[in-house]
Amino acid sequence: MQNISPALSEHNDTFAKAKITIIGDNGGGKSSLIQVFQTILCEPHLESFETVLEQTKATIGNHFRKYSK
Amino acid sequence: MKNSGFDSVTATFRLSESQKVKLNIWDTAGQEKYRSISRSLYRGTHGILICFDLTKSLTVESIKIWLHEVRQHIGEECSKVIVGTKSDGAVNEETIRVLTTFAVENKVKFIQTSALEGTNVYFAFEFLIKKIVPRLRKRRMDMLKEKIDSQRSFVINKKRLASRSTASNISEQRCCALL
Repeated sequence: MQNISPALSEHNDTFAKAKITIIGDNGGGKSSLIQVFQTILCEPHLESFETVLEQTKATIGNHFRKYSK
Repeated sequence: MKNSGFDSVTATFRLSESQKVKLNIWDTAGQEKYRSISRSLYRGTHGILICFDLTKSLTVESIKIWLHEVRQHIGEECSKVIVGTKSDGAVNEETIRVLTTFAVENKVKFIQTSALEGTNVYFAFEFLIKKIVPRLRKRRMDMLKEKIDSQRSFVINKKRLASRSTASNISEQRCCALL
């Protein structure tokens, strides 16, 4: 029987890295989805996300305002 | 929130007690003028969430355009989930019907979410991550096996070379002894 290297064991999955891309039409709620997911990971017991979503406002406008100054 | 081209966040997702996944989530801009920037972000993507606003009207063509975009720039090997957003709002029943039918016909998971209420947001990501991880594991196993195999063949070749040079040394010695 072939020996399986310890490097191949499941424990190495502890820090798997994955890239996820979110796509979709403009104003489709992509950023809100990410923001809420991130919040859930940090605060799993949070029930209202209204405050979280209020904080995630038009980044594009902010960028343009910042560069035009 | 509108993105000026793209935005990215990192997060650690606990899949089980012993398994964690470091996520690199890329948030792309939906506007057409930023589409070329978004395309450059597709490289190395393991999973994709294709979002559609459930409160707006949607045609099958619109879904096909996004799926074509994914196929063209990432390929078939990428895990995909169709996400319906804003399910807490005044949803368009026709949009839901179009998405459900499309998902069934194309064997893609369709999840209705609400960021405002937090409904199914975690589930959508979890579902995608659970689809990605086995592929990541397999890819890494293949890479490690390849590495081990190449190391083994290197050792074998080294041994062969060593035994050949020993054999040639002996024959040379014999040859010199004859002289």
